[in-house]
Amino acid sequence: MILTATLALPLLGALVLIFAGSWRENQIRLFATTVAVLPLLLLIWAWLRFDPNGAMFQLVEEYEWVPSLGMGFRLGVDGIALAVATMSALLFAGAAAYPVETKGMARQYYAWLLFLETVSLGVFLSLDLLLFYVFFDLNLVGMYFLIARWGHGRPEYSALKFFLYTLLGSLALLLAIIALYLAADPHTFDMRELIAQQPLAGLAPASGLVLLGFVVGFAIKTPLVPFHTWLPQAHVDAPAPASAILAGVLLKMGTYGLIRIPYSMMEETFAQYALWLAILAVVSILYGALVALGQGDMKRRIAYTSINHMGYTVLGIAVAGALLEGSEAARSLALTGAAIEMVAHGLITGSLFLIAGSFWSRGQSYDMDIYGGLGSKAPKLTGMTALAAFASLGLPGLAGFVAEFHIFVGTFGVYPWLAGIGLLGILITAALFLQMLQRLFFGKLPAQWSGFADLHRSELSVLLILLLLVVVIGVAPGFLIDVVEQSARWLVGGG
Amino acid sequence: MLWATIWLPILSALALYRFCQGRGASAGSVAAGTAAIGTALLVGAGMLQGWTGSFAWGADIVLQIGLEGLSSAFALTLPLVAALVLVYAGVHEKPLGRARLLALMLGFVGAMELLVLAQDLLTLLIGWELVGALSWALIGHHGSDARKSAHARQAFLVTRFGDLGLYLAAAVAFSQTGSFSFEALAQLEGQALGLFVAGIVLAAAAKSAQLPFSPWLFSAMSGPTSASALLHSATMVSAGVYLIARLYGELSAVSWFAPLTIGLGLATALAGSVVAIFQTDAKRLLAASTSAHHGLMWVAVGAGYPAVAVAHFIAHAFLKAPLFMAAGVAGEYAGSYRLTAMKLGRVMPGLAVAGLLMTLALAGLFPLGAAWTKEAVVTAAGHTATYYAVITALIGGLSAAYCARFQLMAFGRGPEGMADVHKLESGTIYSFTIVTVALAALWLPGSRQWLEAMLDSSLPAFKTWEVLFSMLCVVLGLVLGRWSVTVAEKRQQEGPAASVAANWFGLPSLGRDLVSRPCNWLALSLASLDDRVVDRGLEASARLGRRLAGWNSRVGEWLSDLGPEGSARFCQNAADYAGSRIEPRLFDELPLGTARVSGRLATYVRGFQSGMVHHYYTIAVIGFVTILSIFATGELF
Repeated sequence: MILTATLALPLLGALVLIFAGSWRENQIRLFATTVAVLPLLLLIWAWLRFDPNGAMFQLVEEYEWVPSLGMGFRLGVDGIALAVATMSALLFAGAAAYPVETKGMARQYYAWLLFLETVSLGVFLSLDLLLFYVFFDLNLVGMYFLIARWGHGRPEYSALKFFLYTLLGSLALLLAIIALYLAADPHTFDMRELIAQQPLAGLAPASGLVLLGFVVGFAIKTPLVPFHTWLPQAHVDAPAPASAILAGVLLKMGTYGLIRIPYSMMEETFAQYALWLAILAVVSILYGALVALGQGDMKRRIAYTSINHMGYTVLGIAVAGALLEGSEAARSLALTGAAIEMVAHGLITGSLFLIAGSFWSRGQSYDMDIYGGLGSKAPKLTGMTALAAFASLGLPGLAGFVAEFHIFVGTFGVYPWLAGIGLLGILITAALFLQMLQRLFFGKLPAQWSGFADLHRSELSVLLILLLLVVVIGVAPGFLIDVVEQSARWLVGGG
Repeated sequence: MLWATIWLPILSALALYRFCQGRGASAGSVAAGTAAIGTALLVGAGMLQGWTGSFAWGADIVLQIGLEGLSSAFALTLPLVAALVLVYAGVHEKPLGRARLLALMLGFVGAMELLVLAQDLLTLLIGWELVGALSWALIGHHGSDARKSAHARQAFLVTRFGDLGLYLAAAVAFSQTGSFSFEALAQLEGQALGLFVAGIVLAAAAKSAQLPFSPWLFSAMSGPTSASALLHSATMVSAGVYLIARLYGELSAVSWFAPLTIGLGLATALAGSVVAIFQTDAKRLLAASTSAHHGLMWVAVGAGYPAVAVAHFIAHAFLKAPLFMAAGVAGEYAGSYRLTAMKLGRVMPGLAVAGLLMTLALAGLFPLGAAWTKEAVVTAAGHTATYYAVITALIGGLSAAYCARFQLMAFGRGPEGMADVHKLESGTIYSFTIVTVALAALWLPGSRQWLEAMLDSSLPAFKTWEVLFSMLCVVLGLVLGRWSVTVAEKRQQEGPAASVAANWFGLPSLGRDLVSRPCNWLALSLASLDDRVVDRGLEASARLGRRLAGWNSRVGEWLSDLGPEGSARFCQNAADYAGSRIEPRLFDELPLGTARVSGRLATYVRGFQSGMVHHYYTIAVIGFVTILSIFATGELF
């Protein structure tokens, strides 16, 4: 019941908000934050009950839904899903608590946010392919409204672009899912069944096409170069908490989907094309970092670093899926790294986008050149930004390093050349983040910012919690690795 | 228990930052100094008790720390030097941001201890990169000057480029041995071993400012003086030497390691000495000298005597830190670090005497301790080939030349004056001087055996002719330095060749033109390519879609009653109606819930009218047709 409750509570909260016409904005925010914390608590409980050495999928719940189609309401988690879902729940709680301009529509805003929480967590908790798809698509709806109605700049244009582009990805995904369903015998959407069956094994040309469908679908969501152009625009125009969710949670659906579906259900085909996926990932790593370095807008810059970091995640997944090459230890290391990267990137980039939101609420601009010298004016903001930036550039002692080190070492055991090229990415991210810190916080303080306010208590407390976790994972990642590692072993060992 | 050695400075740094803000100068001094002394005591206890530590991240990855001969020497020297530097920093630096500076320096000590105690490559890498990041924070400490933060960034990027070598080495080690631990490295062989050594040498060269990475140390001069004193003596720069000394056993298994290390070391020592001779900025002169002396340590390691490198490191650490500190006091008084503006021998006679003793030690003049360790380097080099010994001795002469120049220009006899030197500033410098002088005991018989036992490895025996030749070089160098000061005073203006030489022979601008400018250009071009081309393709397909949709709707008119569009339109009209007619009425009449739900639905559906419906619709139709065709050909699978 834990997982069902996790999904039901935010949805119930959203329904309550629809009927709560007379509440004041503060009450609404408090209520939404409280509701958003509940799934987090439930998932922590699930974490405590999860036995890393037990079965692959645990806490399974299953209800018949459309038995004739082989579809059911099936929930369950392995270590990777649990880790990513828990991180997502934390980020949602943080996003709800972070102050934001709701344009007088607080009720609607928080209702959409809670709706989005349910459908986002649903993606990670589903054990049914069709259910996964439904949640995957409903995300677009929630995010579309958050951007279009509460964004700034050209929100409707950005939201539409985001919606259509990712919908196109969903379409490719749907086709591939149907193909997988039809190939299974008996027809089923049960993920466990599909993993065990490997329905497309040995069906060479068809299986390649299906893989292409999955990869395109998830590559748009992740996003990988060259499917990424919806991302920066959507980020720039989205309100800060939505941006944090978009980067922290929604992008993970692409990489999580890659692991859960094509990687697990089509091992053989995946292995065949793993090298190509790895190359695409390395291109994303370098391209994302370089383009980020060329941005003068801080939010666009952070958005492009997401492409870089998600490139590392995909690299880890591709390497782990290269069944025929490399040692099992290296591949398992790569997949563990990919899972940690998902968690780390969610926390770190989520924080960075929230910070960007604080800049917007104070200066109505993301242009780095108009800021400067804020270091002495806003020490807390400086400290938090510096911590998040160093985490993002992979400094040891912080979460990003643990992930990237795993991925790099694992990749080296399989594709040494790609590892070497991909490693250059950490140099470019270092350059771009240090440059960002320099432009924002060093130098002379422009006169117009003489009244620049430091972080408020509500902003600071959210950032502190997120970044504290980044430090904990960076220093003592054992608790996370324990949960993830065994699942990675299962996946690498072929069951 | 050994972990305490790392946590003590780091946690005290946090506490100091929290509690010493706005307190008086000596409070910070005392607190930071105490923390550093505590760290030294912990290292001492660890050595006596044989402490070790390990910490598991996962099944395959375990962090390990421990103390053995070489690492003990580093681990102990570091907090002792740091303690005095921290006490000095507490009174010397400006009050604004002092607590932060002290905290960063203490944290630096913790990170460096981690690096030194590491028994595996991952732990080493963690300490290694933390040291780099903290040096960024230290160099850019006074953030109001944008140039300083640019320098900090340059220093960090150059050393991080080297760090990539360490990442590479760790990955090679894991892929070959299945672990990161130093013990397993013996299993490496062939190509993998070559790659491993290349990675380590790259990382070490960048950190210890060997060619071609040396200029970053100049950028590092933008930081506060106390940070320089710490960076150049016992931390950061010496990390590179520590690494190749610590892993000498594995590294030397490759035949090209020795010639490469000796070659790099000699080239850096030579170039650094020449740079120092032409430098007119006190701190930069000392910085070039740091590169040069670390070059000598590289020579010692390459020649097969890592213990000699460690001995020279210790002697160098105890004299380079106070030289920076003295230069800081002098620069404070003179208002700039330009040597031509100093000549403070009569203003601060005590410091002038201390400076004299330390510059003579740095010059390598008998009977000071640093001279003994430098002779050990010469002898070690001579064990590989006699001409190496001759070159090293000649470089020692150049070293003497810039030492004489520094001392005469900074603390020579000039006009009288009164300087306000804090007791703790001079006190710490004197303490260092006492240690430097006490190291002269190394020349006593029996000291060699004691040092060998202490470092747990053998030291080369001196040859008389080498020592005599070397001392001759030193004396000639001192004379040369004296002469160069006279020339400089006559000429006033530096020639162009001299200023090029003083700035690392143009190496920094070469780096700018070859690496950072092209990289920035590439980033900007890619960014505009991304906006103009990649995204434009998407826009174009969107336009195509719109056109298709337009065509589709014209044709669709026709079939509107039969086709799916008809039903879509019907839905819309119904929703419109609901939105505009029913919904307001419901709102009036039924104040509760359901109305709002339908209102929401209505706005939602109305959203589809804004042109978006065409896109959505086109996609849906394509999708629908495809799905149907797949269902139809479902047998295929």
